[in-house]
Amino acid sequence: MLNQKIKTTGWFLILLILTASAAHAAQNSEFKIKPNQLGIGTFFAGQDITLCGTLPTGGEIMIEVIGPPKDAKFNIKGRVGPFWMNRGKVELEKAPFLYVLLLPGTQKWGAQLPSLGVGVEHLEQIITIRPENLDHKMIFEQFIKLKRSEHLYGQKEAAIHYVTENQKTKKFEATFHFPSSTIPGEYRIATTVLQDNRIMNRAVHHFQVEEVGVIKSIHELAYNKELIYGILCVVIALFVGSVMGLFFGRSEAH
Amino acid sequence: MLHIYLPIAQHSVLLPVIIGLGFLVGLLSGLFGVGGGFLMTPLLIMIGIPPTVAAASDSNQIVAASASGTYAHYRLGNVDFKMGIYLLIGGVIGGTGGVQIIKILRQLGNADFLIQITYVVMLGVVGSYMFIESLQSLRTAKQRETGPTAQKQSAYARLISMLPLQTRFERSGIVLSPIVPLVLGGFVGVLAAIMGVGGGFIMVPIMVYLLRMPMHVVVGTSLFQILFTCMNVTVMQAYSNRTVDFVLALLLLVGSTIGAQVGAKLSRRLKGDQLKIFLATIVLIVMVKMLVGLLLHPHFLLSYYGGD
Repeated sequence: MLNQKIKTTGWFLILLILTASAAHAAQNSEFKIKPNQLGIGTFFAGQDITLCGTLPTGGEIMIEVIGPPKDAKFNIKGRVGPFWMNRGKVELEKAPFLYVLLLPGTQKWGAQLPSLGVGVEHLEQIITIRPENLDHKMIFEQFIKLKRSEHLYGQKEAAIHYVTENQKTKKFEATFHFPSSTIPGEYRIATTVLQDNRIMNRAVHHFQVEEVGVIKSIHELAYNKELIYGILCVVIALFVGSVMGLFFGRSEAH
Repeated sequence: MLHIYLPIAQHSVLLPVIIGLGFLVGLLSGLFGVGGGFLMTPLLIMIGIPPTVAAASDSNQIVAASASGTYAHYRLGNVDFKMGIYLLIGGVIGGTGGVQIIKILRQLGNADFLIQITYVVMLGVVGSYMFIESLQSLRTAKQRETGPTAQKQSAYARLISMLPLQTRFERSGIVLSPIVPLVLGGFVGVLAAIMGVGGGFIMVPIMVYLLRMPMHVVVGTSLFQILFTCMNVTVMQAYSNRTVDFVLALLLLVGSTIGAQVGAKLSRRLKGDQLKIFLATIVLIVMVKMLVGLLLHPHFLLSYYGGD
C-alpha cells in the first residue's frame, strides 16, 4: 500500500516536472525578427523579414503579423432599379491595416482557429462597424474580400518550417513579405505556442516600420507645412512644364 | 530598382507604368485640349492609388502638362487669352456654386446616382453629336472646298448676336458678347464641380459648337483655362486634405509634358474634324465603360470612400 502510494506520488512528481519543464520551455521559447526594423526609402518595393526561434519539440507555433489600425471608410454599393451605385457610407473602426496569419504545415488548422482566438475570421470580434444598423456580416465579409484582394489580409498554411534541434527543443523559421503598399507605423507580431492543441503561451513583439530619407522629408512637409507644400507643388509643376515646352520649342526650331 | 515609393499615397509603384500613363494622358491633352482627369484618375485607382490621392495628384500633374501644352499652342498662335480669361472667370464662379449644389444633393440622398447618370447622359450626347457631326463634315469637305454655301442662321446664332457688349475675339476670329463665355464657363464650372473633374471634355465641345471657335484655337485656349483651374485645385487639396502626392505628380508630369508636346505636334497634322472624331470616340468609350459599371454586378460591394 505504501509502495503503491510512493509509486503514484513518484509518477505525479515526474509528470509535474515534465509539464513544468515543457511550460517553462514554451514560455522561454526564443523569438527573433531579422531585421529588427524596416525602413521605407525612395525605392522601397516591399521587403522580406525572417521570424525565427525555438520551441519545445512537441509544440506548434502560429505567428500573426498585425498592422497599425488605419481609418477604413467605404462606400457601400447597392442596386437601384437596373443600376448599381453607392448607397451609403460605412466606417470600420480598429481594423488593422494588415493582418496575416502564418501557420505550420503539420495539420489543417482552419476549423480550430476561431477557438484559438487567431485568424482573419476572428477579426470580426475586434472590428467595430459604424453605423450600427447595417448588415454587419455582409460588411465584414466584403471588407475581408477586398483586403484579401489587396494581399493585405490572409492566412498562409505551411508558412512555418521546423528543424529538430535536440530532444527537448526544435527550431522554427518563417519568412514574411511586407507588401509594396506597406504603411509606416508600429506593427505587432504575435506568437501563439500550442502543446497538444492547447495554448501554452502567447507573446506580442513590436516591430517598427518607418519612412526614411527623402520620403520622410516630403511626408513631413506635406503634413506640417501644407500651404507651402501645395504652392511648391504648383511652382515645380509650372517650372517642369515650361522647361519641357522650351526644350521642345527649341528642338523644333532647329 | 524600377520601383518608387509614394510618400502620400503610401504605395510603391513601377516607374515605367506611371511615366507611361503620364505620357498617354499628356498626348490626349496636347491633341484635344482636355486635362485627361476623367481617364487618369480611374487608371491610378486601378493600380492601387487611393482615390482622393489619385484625383489630387492628377490635378498637380495637369498643371505641368497644361503649362507645357499651353506654351506649345501659344507658339503656334492657338491660344485666345481673352476668351480663356472670360471662361475662367465663369468657371470659378460656376465651380463655387457647383460645390454648394453637390452639398445639397448629398443631403437629399442619391446624389451619386444623379451624378453618374448625368455623367453618362452628358458623355453620350456630347460624344455622339461630335462624332456624327464630324463624320458628316469630313464627308462633305470636298463640296465645301468648291465654294462656301450660304448657311441659314440658327435661332441660337440670332440670340447670341442680339446680346449686348459685342466684342471681337481676334485670335478666334469671332464677334461675341462676353456674357456668352461667362455663362458657358459658369455652366461647365457647375458640372465640373458636381462630377469632380476638370471639365475639359465638356468645355471643348462647348467652345466648338456654342462659341463657334476654330478647333485648333479651342485646344490651346482650353489648356490655358485648365492650367489655372488645376493650380487652384492643387493648392486647395494640399492645404485642406493633404492628398497631393508630389512624387506621383512628378513622375506623371515627366511623361505627360513629353506627351503633351507630341500631342500638340500631332494635332497640327490632323484636320479639325479628325481631331473631333478621335475625341468623340474616347468620350463614347468612357461613357460605355461607366454605363457597363452601373449595370453589372460589382465584384466588391465596398469601395474606398472618395472613389467611384
